[in-house]
Amino acid sequence: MMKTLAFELCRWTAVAVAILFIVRLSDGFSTVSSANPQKVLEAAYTCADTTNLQPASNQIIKRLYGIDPSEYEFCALYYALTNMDVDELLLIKYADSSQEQQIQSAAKARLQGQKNVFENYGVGQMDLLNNHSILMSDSGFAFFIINLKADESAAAFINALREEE
Amino acid sequence: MQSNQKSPKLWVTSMFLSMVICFNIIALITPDKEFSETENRMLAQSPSVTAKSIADGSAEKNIEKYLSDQFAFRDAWSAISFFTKCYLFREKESNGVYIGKDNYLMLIPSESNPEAMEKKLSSVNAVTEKYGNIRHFISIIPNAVTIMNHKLPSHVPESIQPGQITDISQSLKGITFCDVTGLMKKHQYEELYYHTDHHWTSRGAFLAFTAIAPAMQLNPDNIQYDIYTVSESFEGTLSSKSGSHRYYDKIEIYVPKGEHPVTVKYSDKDETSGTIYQKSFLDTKDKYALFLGGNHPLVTITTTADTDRTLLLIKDSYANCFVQFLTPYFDQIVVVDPRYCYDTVDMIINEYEITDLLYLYNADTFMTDTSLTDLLAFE
Amino acid sequence: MSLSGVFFVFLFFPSSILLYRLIPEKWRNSLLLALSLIFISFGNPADLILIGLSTVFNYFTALEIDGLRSMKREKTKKLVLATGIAVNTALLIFYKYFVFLMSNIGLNVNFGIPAAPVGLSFFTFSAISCLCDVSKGDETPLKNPFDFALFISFFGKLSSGPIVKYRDMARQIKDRTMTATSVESGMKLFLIGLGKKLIISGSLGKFFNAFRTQDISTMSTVTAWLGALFYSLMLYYDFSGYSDMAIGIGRIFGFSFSKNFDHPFISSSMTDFWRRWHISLGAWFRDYIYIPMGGSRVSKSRHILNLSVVWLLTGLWHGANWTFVVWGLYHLVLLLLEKMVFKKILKRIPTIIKTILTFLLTVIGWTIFFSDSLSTAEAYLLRMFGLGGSGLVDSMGKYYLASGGILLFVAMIGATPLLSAIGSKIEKRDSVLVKVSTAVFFALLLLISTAFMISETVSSFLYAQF
Repeated sequence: MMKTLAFELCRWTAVAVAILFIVRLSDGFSTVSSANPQKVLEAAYTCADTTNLQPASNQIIKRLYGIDPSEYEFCALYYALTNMDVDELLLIKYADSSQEQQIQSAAKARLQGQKNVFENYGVGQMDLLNNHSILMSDSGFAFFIINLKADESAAAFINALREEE
Repeated sequence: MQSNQKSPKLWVTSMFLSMVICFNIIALITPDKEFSETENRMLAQSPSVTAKSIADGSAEKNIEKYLSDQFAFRDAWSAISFFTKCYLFREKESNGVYIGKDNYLMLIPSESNPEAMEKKLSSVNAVTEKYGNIRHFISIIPNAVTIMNHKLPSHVPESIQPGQITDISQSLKGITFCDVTGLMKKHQYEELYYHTDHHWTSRGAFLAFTAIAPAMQLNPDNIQYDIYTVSESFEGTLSSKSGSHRYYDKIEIYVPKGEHPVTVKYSDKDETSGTIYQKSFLDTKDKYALFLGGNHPLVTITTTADTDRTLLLIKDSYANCFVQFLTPYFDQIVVVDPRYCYDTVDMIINEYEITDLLYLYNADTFMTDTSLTDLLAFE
Repeated sequence: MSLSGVFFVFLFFPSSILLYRLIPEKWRNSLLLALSLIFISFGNPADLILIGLSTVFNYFTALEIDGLRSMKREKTKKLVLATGIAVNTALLIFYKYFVFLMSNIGLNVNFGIPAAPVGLSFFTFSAISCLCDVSKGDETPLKNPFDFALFISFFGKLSSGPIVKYRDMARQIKDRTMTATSVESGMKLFLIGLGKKLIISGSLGKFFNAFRTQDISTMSTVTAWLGALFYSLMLYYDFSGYSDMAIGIGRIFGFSFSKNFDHPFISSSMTDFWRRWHISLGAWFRDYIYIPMGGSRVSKSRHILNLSVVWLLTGLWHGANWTFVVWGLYHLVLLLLEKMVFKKILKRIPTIIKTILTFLLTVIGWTIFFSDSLSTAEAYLLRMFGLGGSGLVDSMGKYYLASGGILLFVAMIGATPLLSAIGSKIEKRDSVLVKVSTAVFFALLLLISTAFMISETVSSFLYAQF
């Protein structure tokens, strides 16, 4: 009798822990970060390799990504100083999942477009495009980077999101 | 289990373990390589394994990529797998490249993008209409799959490029369209395309020039050329892409006879050159970059032709080896590659006082390109 | 960790073999468990927690069921068993079917379902089999929690099957022998599986991908059949390749798992097919669903119900899409027709005809299986029967036949028992020449597999999504 109860306790504890764990893992889409977008951008930018980056005008954002910056709460882009480089850093705060989808497909198209352009010609550029590019969304922010220090910048982005305003 | 029967029974196991241990030792001894010439790409370096990368699964992928890229004798393994595919299984294509007869490699055309095409054609028409005072020309060059079809592996479906090119010519207004497909077809038994690269040879470009020049009101008979072979060891893009390394191409240049000095300026480098041939590239893998130093956003070529004509050449890499025929006919040639140039056509036409505009593209690139539309957009 | 990747084949696997040989026998299970935990965490460390919790849950449930059974408290035992099965099933449904179910009711899931832990479909079924076997009294639970953890998570069979039943592995955990013969045969099987997966399935997969991107509406009949044929063979080589590797790995560590495939393409009936294809799945459904529901020793209508339940679940097991359900039901209908309607007629048809017919029917079935949606499946099938496409044969069909013909031929021959029959005959001759040439053959197999491993882009195991 006692043994049965003990077993029951053990097994349902396991179930409870599992449920908590899964809920914890599934979370992350519902909460929007209240961090200051400008600060998030700075955090990500300073951790990237900035030798080739310059800020982009809305014109350039429209041309390179086909999206209208005025439609988003916050939209900023750094792009390469010369046309033969591919460094880029994009940060957008979106309002809902349809905007998020829009940004995701625009960024993917941009990455593929650059790959098509530099295929066979730019070995260094292809390396960056293939191995040093990150696209992610978290807590209401979309982040896209092509840069030698993409990992560090992405980590800084994630950390900055956790900072409350 | 008798111990004297144990070891003779484990032949395969011992073979496996010893081979694996061998490769691990070799891997430890040999240093990591950064770049693969045969594959023309950077090789993965040892990944940084952080808590985050383990958690999101990227550590596994990066480690696999690293081990695979740095595996000893990588080129030998590619050769073995290529041999198995194309000689044992007799497959006709490898990684998007047809393995043709006589070591001819031909790029399989990509899927066309009708939406982008429509936008492209209307922007060309808009530019033609806006700049009525300039002469406009266009030529879309068919690729090897269309012209060298006698070298294709058997039963490859017929190329749709001739039809696509005709459709384009019919959608464009007010512009002189030069279709060289028929002419190139007539000479298909000549070396019009490289065996190992997706570009046409200088010979192929010259053939097209004999048709495009009259259309542009240039007289090709005026100029004679000296033909020089500058390389006999060219292994182009299709070699790296497909894994087939059985042929070395010859590169020829056509130098106009007589005095035709040029000054070549690259917009993205502060460099001036006295020739359109960048011979330093002949010592590298990408020998085709000999022509105009590869791809640049904007190149200006100033000559002493004294013809009062300035050409704007909007192009992809096919035109790089076409420029060598144009230099005697124009005071200045402005060579623009829309994939890398973010200026607009208005800016360029006004700044350089353009009198002639030529679009020169190969069919495969033209079908999928989206950057031309951006270049031709009016602000 | 991918079983056919560089890390496993060249680092993890050989190290585990050497360590296993060196370590004293009493530590061997702990070593295998430790290796399995490393194997799991290499892909996603979060999986360790989920698989660990599932292990804890099932471990205690099994002990409790066993206790209740010996106390003859049948009602409570059945309740505990039912809740145990329910929890395991709930985990499976959440990860695999929740989004599918919700979208069919019309609700959208607003939060992201995390990635399923590695081998979810396989270890849940293993766990359920444990609870059932212990409940029946045929098996005792593994009292040592580490032994039980090894049963659930053994890296040889975790990621890609076969579905190992408790009754087939529990005793081997406590007591198994490793002989030179078993190790050698395991090694050979592993290398054969590796070759099947990387060389044959990989190459077939490249061809099939080309068909994937074609416009179905303009396909010719021959092209459509070729595509289906490429897929059928690719799936067989991929899955049976991985199964061979898993069984081979098991043998090297002293485990004897039953084979998962037995030359399914020479089946002479659909019943025969399911005794040869994904045998462990069929056996599991037979032992834990079909027979408990009464099997075939019941009224005809009940028999049909039992079969229907099994085939519905078989289809669903493969994925959360209506195409899999329809595929399962397609096989159900064929089986019913075979067993109940055409039984007498079929006896009179020569075996060769039946074999060809069975083959064609399974290929048609795979068409439904690989389609993204029912409408795509319908369109594709119409082409196969000559309706609506671009005629009997077009240049694309001819091209793929020319380019992939030899590969197809080799694949089809390899799918028959011919090669293994020749292999066994050769092995029976006990000469040094035979031993050396065998080693050379397997060395070549390893070399070519490695060449494909290094130079190809990774094409992941198709059944891994299950």
